[in-house]
Amino acid sequence: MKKDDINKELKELAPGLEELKGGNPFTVPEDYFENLPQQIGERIHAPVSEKRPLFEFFTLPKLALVVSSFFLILFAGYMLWVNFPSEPMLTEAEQEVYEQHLAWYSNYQPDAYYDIIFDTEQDAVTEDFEYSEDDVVEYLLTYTDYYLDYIPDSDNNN
Amino acid sequence: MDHYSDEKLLDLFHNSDNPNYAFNLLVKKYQERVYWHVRRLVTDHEDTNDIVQEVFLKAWKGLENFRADSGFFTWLYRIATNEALSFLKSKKRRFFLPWQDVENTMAGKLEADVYFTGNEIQKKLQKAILTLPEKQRVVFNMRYYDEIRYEEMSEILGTSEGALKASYHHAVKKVEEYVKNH
Repeated sequence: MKKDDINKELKELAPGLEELKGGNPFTVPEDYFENLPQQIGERIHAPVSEKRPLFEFFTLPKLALVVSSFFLILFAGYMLWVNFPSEPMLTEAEQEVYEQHLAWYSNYQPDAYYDIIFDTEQDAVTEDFEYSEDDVVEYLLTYTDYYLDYIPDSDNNN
Repeated sequence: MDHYSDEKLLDLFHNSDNPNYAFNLLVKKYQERVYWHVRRLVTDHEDTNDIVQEVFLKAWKGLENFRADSGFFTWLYRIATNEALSFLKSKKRRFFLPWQDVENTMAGKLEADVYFTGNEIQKKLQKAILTLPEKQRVVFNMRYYDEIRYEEMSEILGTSEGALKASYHHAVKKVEEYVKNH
């Protein structure tokens, strides 16, 4: 009954295929099915070796791709880090100016502030000293220039 | 061996002192059906042999917890189908091949297979089946060769009967078309 239904369905759908049905074109080696249960039994009772050889691990394409990408990124990062300038690139002249400023700053004494702005320290602590906005602007324009132009000779400072 | 029912063999496996004997009887009972189901999907004997051994190995490991909610053969068939499909997928992944190329390779191997003794028309039929998409191929083989009812197929593949029926009808039409035109 079951087979009849299936064959009837096939006959209605594709009569040509229904005629082709029957016969197995595949074969197996001699005594294959006689030996198969024994082979399966041997595999079941074989000692389990879970460890896979390392080289086999790296032959898996997806894993190999991931591992190689990781090392590539790591290498690129290292190269970038090694070649990245730790200081801004300066010309020789700029470097000289920069070093002079550096020397001046390193010798800077807080008292020097008074030399630039006030005649004495006492002038600086005058309490009723008032600044208008114009004073501040003028001060900044005047002394900023002075300050920037004041590139002392480090030899003289010492 | 076939005269033992599955229930009797499973009972023997679970409750006797020698589960190996009971399992051996189960292997003998189902080995051919499992083998041919897998062989029709992967076509190559050596590949099939590996898969079948793996199927029974998994059945051995899982049988302790098997509670017969579905029949033993349904369960075994499901393992076999999954193993065969996993094998084909891994083959595709290993060589970075699209699905269709794996099938073309298999069709090519059929020509030189010493364990294929079919005539030209049977060869053409096998090649036609290999052109089907994976799921349709499984459904076609299960219905055409193994004559499994949709109801049982639904249990094995976890797909609705309606979808299986549609899948089979599509597959039959495609195979017929291929056989006519090649």
